[in-house]
Amino acid sequence: MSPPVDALLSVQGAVKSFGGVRAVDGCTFDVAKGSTTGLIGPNGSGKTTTFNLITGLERPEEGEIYFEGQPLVGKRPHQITRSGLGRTFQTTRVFPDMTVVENMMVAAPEDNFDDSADRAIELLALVGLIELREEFGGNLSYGQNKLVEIARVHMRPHRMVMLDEPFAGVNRTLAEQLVDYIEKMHARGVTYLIIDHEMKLVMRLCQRILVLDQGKLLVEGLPEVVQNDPAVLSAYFGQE
Amino acid sequence: MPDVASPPATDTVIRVEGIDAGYGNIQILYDVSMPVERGKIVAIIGPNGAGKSTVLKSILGLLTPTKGQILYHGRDITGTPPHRIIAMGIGYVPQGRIVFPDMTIRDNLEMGGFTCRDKQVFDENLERCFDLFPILRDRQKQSAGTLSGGQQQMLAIGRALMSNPDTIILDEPSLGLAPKFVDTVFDTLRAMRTQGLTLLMVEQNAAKALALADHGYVLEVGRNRFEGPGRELLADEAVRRLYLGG
Repeated sequence: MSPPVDALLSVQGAVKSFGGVRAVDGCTFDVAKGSTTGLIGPNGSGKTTTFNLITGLERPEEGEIYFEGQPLVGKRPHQITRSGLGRTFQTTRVFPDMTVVENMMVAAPEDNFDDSADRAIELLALVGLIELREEFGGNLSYGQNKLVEIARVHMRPHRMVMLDEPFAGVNRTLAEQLVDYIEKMHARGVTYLIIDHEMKLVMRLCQRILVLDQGKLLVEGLPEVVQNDPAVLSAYFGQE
Repeated sequence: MPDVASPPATDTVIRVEGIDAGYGNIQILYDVSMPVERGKIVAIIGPNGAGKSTVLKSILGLLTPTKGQILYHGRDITGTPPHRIIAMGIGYVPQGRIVFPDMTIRDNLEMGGFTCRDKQVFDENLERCFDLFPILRDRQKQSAGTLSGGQQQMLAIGRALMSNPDTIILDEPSLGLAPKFVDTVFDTLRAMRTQGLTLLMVEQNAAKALALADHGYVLEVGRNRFEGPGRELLADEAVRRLYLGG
């Protein structure tokens, strides 16, 4: 198999099992350059495992993954990050005894540390946390921590960022700030792949939706098409 | 004949009334109300993060609501510790059918009866449990880890029955079970209703739960959104669309 021409990220027939369960079972999809794409699916459908395969935390037993045409399988997580593909995790890891700005600077590229304070301030202003820049991480609310983490991943000039449940546990005000931030960074050229269960926000933010079910791509399409697809409804709602 | 106390005027076994609840700074439930009628199967459904499990934890005393109250047979049980709530008559089948795998089936059941101090009552409970699940009687000396997923769910339900509850709370009874075992578990719930038990369950398979339930509550982001007879909710397009943000 070879990488498709216009896809920034391409997952081709990825398989990953845990014990007897094939968590990702022949998953295939592309993410177009410049898009904001949603990756949704019921609990246990393989979304986070797919993220882990892409970012080198898990190695697929079968299949290929390409980013900008380069194969990712076999690369280490830090190599993948340095190649321009960043991600965040469901659980936030903000250092409690460092200030918000310091937390941001931890993620600065090692070859360009001098500009990192300016970059941190710029990103904090964009995400709406500039007033908290000297506050310690441990004094922030859960939602504010999440915003710091999502702002922080952009300290590197990633061409693509994958967010794992950015809206979980984030109140409505902060969620709107976050939507605004993602839209601004998207306008600056970042391609996004976003896992979340906050359907209203996902459908609003994303131009394209991928639906996983039982480790496979079930449906892909425009938000309004996916929302009305009977197969997607029954994957979420169950069957009698 | 001596006078007996008249039965309570209400047939509501559990009444969740306007509760707010959450974890630390994160509020999950907002003014949630949920009466549960005697002898009924009641299902709580809703998309991820709706607060379904948080309602169960609040009833069981694993979490204390910051507002509102929870009544059990008219008595305020808000903030009562879990072991006392179990002793009062609410049984609990946790998510993921957590049994003690290295203990025998019989020992697992005895663990469920830890609140029972009367040997005769204990034996009666055990008999009733074995009558409902003959497989548990046949294999009582085997370790629970040797049971299939469906049988472990039977054991988890049997264990909840050992404290002689009138109400059982089930958290995702079908989760991770093969389809044929899901049907068996749902048949069991039906049989338990026939015996007069009240069942309150959270279930990810909303369609199956609503098809069985006498009454359903649909939560969305921590708030009551819809309620009604299970079959009516099942037929309601708006309920389905909720799962996809429609």
